[in-house]
Amino acid sequence: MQYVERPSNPIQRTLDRVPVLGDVVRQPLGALGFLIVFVFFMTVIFAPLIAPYDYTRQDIPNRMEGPSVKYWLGTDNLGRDLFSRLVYGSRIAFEISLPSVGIALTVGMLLGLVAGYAGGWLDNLIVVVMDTLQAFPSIMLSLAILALLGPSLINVIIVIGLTWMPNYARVVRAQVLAARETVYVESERSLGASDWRILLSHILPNVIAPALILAAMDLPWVITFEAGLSFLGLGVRPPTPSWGSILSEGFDHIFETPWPILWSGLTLALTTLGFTLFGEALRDVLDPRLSGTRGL
Amino acid sequence: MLVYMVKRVLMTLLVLLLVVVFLSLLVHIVPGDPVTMILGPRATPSLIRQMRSAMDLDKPIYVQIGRFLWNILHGSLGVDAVTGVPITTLIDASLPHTMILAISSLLLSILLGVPIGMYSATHTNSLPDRILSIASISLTTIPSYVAGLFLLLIFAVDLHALPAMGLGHAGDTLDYLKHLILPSVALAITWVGYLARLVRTSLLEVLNETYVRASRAAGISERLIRYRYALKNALIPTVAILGVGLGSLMGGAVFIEIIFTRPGMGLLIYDAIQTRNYPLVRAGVFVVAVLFVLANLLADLIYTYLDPRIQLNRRQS
Amino acid sequence: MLIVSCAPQATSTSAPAQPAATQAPVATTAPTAVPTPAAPKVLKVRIRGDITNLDTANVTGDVEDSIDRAVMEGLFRYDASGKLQPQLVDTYSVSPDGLTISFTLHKGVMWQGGYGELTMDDVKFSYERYLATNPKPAYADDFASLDHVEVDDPYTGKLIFKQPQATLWTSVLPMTSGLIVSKKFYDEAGPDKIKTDIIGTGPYLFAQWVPKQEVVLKRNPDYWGTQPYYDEIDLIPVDDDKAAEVALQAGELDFSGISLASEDKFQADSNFTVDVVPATQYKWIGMNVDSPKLKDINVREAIRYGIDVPSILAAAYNNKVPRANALIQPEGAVGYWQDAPVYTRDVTMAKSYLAKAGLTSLDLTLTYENTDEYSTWAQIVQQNLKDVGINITLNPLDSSSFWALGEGGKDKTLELFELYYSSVVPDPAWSTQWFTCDQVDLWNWMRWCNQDFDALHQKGITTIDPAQRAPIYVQMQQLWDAAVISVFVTDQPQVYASKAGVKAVIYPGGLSPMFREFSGQ
Repeated sequence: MQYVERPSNPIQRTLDRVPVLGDVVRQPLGALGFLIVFVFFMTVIFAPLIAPYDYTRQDIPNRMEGPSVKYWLGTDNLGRDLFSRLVYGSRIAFEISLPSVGIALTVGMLLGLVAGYAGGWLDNLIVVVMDTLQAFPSIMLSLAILALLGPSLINVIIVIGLTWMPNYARVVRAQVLAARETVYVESERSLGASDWRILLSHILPNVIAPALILAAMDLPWVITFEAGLSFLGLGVRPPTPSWGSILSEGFDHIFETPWPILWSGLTLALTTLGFTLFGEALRDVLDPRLSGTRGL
Repeated sequence: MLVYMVKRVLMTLLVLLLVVVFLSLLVHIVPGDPVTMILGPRATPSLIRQMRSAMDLDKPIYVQIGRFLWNILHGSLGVDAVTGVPITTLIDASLPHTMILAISSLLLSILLGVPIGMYSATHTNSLPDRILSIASISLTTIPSYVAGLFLLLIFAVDLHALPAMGLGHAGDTLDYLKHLILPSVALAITWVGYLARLVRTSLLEVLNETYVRASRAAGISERLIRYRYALKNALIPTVAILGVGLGSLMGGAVFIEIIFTRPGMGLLIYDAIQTRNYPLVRAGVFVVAVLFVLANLLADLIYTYLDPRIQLNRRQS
Repeated sequence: MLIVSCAPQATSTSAPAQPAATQAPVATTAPTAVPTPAAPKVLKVRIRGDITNLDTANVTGDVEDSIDRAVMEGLFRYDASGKLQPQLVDTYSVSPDGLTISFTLHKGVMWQGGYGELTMDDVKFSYERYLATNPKPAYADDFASLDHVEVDDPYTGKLIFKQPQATLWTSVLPMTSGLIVSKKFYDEAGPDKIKTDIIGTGPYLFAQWVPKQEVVLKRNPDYWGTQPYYDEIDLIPVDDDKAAEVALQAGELDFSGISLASEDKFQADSNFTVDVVPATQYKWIGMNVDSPKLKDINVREAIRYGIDVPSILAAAYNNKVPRANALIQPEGAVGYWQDAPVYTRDVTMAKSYLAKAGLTSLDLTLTYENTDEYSTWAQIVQQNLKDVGINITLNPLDSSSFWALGEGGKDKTLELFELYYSSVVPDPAWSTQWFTCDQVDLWNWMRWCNQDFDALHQKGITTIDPAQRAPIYVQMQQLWDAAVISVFVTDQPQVYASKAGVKAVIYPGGLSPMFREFSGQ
C-alpha cells in the first residue's frame, strides 16, 4: 500500500475547521458520498423498520423469482426476500468493518508508535514482522487463518484486523519518525521530558489524524474484503445475510436467476463508492496535502 | 545507496524465512488432512498415519522448516501430498497462467488508466475531466469478484459471446487469448480507475512545481514541458505502484481464477488449502510471497534509482 | 466432492450370483468402426476434478475409476448393458462352497509400454496387495475374505477365500478393485509414481497428464481385444457444474455430468442428449445418540417430525430427486425396503414428543459440509425446527474439517449433522458397513451400536443368494428406523449431457462413464 507521508500538523487544522461536514458537503462528490453514507447508516439503524420481511423468512414455492410487488427485488433460492436481506446485510457490513478497522487501527498504531519512537532492535523486529504479514496476499493469509479458526463473525473480524494492521503500523511509524525530528521534540527532550510525555503530548497528536483518515478510507475496502471472504464461504455463517454470502449464493444459481448477483453486487459497489467519496472529501478537507495518496 | 540496497535485500531474505516459519506453524494447527478429505470413510487410520508422516507432520517443527529450506536450496519444493508429483511441476503448470493474467491486467490498466489520467490532468475541471474522475473513482470501488461475476453473467451466460471457463485448447494461442479477455478485464477494472487517478494527481502536482514553472517562464514549449518533464516525473509513483500492483493482482487472481476456473496459482493454493495438501500450501504460498516481496523490492529499487530525492529508509509495501 | 467407491448397479438387480462357467470373452455390443485414415476421433469429456490417486487399491473416486477401467482390465468386467462378463479369463469355475475360483488367463495379453505378458504373478500381486496391513489400503474390505491367490502355472491359478463374500461378484471383481496391475511396473515405479501414472492391458493408454489441465487417453494400437470407437479421449477437470455447462454449450466439451437444475434446459436442446442415471449416493440428516441432548428418543422423534423433507427436495434439488425413506437405494436394489415409513412434518406431534422429553425448548448444533446444497438443507432444517421450539445453530465446515470428524472419534461432539456416503455399485453391504459398532469413533457418526444390526450385516455379506439377502437388509433398516437416529433425504441420481451423436455408457452405479464403450456417429 502506498502512502506518501509528509510532515504536517493536521490536528491544528482540524481544530480550525470544526464544521468539517459542511466543507465536505460543499463539494459535489463529497455531498454524494455523504448521502450514500447517510443512507447506509440509516439502513443500519432502522433495518427492521425498512425491511418488509424477516431476513430468514422462507417462501419456497416462490423461490428465485424476479422483482415483483410482493418482493421488490425478487427472492433467493430459499424464497427469501432479497431486499430485506440486503437491508439487514448493511448491519453485518457495519458490525464487521467497524470493529476490524478498530482493531487494525489500535494495534497498528500502538506498534507503529513503539517502533518509531523506540528505534533500534525493537523497531527492526516490528518492521520485519509487519513485512512478513504483508508478504502474503491478504486474501491467502485470511484463507489460511480462517481454515484454522473456522468461519464466524468474530473470527472474520480478527482476521481482517490482523491483515489490515501492518498498514497502520507503517503509516504511524513513519509519522513518528518525522515528528521525532521536529524542533519541539528535540527541545523538549533536551529539557529532560520523559519519553511517555513526549509520545503522548507531541507525537500522538501528529499521528492520529492521518491514521484516522486512513481508517475512514479503509472502511469500504474492509466491507468488500469481508464480502469476498463470504463469497468464498469463509465469512459469517448462514442464514446471516452478508452481502458477500448473497453474492455467493447467487453465483451458485447463476443460470437460474441473475437478481441476487445483480443487487448484491450493485449494493456493494455503491456502498464502497459512497464511503470512498466521503472519505476522500473528508481527507481533502482535513488534510489537503494527502490528496491522491490513497492506495488500494 | 549500496548499503541501503544490501540492507534491503537482507531484510527481504529475513522476511522470507519468517514466512516459512509462519506457514509451518499454521499448517501444524489447522484441522483436517488430505486422506480423509479425499477418501472419506475409506480412509483407514494407517493410511492417515502414513500420509502425515509423508508430509513430515509427525516431526518437530524445526525439522519441517529445516527440510523445507534444505529442499529449496536444492531447487526442490517437495512433493504434492496427494498425487506424489513434484510441486515444482504443479507450479510450472500454474504460475505462467497467473503471471499472464496479472501482467495482461496490468498492461490493460496502464493502456487505459494512464491516458485517462493524462487527459484529465491537462483538462482540469472540464466536463470530460469531471466525468472521467467520477468514472475512475467508481471503477476503483468495484471489487474484482463483482466485476468478474457481472462479466460472466453478461458475456458468457447471457450473450454466449466469450468463453467462461479455463484456458482454451492447448497450443491454440488465439483461443488462449479469447479465454484471457474476461478474467483480465475483471481484474483490471479497479486498477484502471486507480491509475487514472494516480496519474492525474501526480501530473497536476508536477505541473505546479517550480521547475516546470521556471521552464515555462524560460519559453520552453508547453507540449514539451508536459511530455518530457512532467510526464516523466509523474510516472515515478506509477512505477512504484506497479510492483505493489503485480503482487496485489496475484492476490486478486484467487477470485478471478475461481470464477473463471483458470488453473493458476490462486486456484492451486485455494484447492490445496481446501484439501489440506500442506506441502502444496506451504510451497505455493511461499512462491507467491517470494514474487510479492521481490516485486516490492524491485519497485523500491527502481524508485530509489529514479528519484534519489526520497529518503533512503523510506518504506512502502 | 467426495466420492466413495464401492459397488452397485443402476437399473436392475443383475448381480450375477452364479456366473455361468467357462465362457470365452464376449464381444462388446458397441458398434466398432474400422479405424479409417480420416481425422482422429476425439472425445472431450469433463471430469469433476483432477486426478489424485489412480492406484487401484487406494483409488480416489469416480474420475480415477473411469480412467483405471479404460486403461486396465480385470478378470471380469461389466459390459455396456451392465452384465457381468469374463474379461482376462478364458475359462473359470467356482467351487460348490463358493470358496475357490479356478481360472485360466487369456494367453498373449501384453502389458502396455513393453512390460511383457500378463501372467498369474500379476494377478497374485494385484489381489494380495489388499491384504497388506501397513498401511492398510483404502479398499482392503473389498478382499476381506480373500485368503490367498494360488499360482499353478503362468496362465492358471485359483482365488482362495476364507468365507463367502456376496460383494465379490457385484462390486469387486468387475470393478476397480478387481483390475489387474503389472507387478513389474509397480515394482519399478514405486508408491508415488503409480498415483498418477498407470499402465494396463486395456484399450486405452494413459498418454498424458497435465496437472489441473487435462488427462489424455489414447487408443492402444496393440490392444488384444475389440478396438474402442474413439481414438483419443481428453479429460478436462472442471470442478464446477455451471462452468461445465457453459463449456458444453460452447462446444468445448462433448460429455459432462451436469446439475439437476439444468436437466430441463439440456433436455429441451436438440444439440444434446441427457441421461438421468440412478446412483447410490445416499444423503441424510443424522443424530448422534451419544450426545446428552439427543439421548432421549422422544427428542429424536420430535426432530424427525419437525423436518420437512419435501421442502429440502424443492429448494436444494428443484424437486428433481426422489425422496429416500431408508438406507438402501435405489428402488429395486437388493434390500430396498418398499414399505419404509414416510414421515410427514407434523409440528404438533413434534412438540408433544418434545414435551414428553420434558422440554419446551432446546438448543442444538447442525454440522454440515459447506456447499450450497447442504447449506440449503441446513437453513430449511433451522427454520423447520424453530417452529417446534428447537433452536439450531448452523456449523458449516469446509470439506477437510468436515471429513476429519471421522478421525479418532472427533464426531463425539456432533449433535445433528448432514452426511452422504456413496457406493459405486449398489450392493447393500456397502451401505450398511459404516453403521456397525466397530465403526463408532470412525464413520458411524450417529454412534448407534446395535448387536443385532451387526450380526445381520455379517450374515448379509456371507449370504450369496439375492432372494435370501433382501429380507436381511430390510430387517436391518427396520432396526434403524425404530431407533430414530436419522431423517433420510434423498438418493441423488446423476445427470449426464452428451453432444448429439455421442452415445455415452455409464457403469452400474451411475457414477463413472465406461469410456471403452462410448461411441459416436
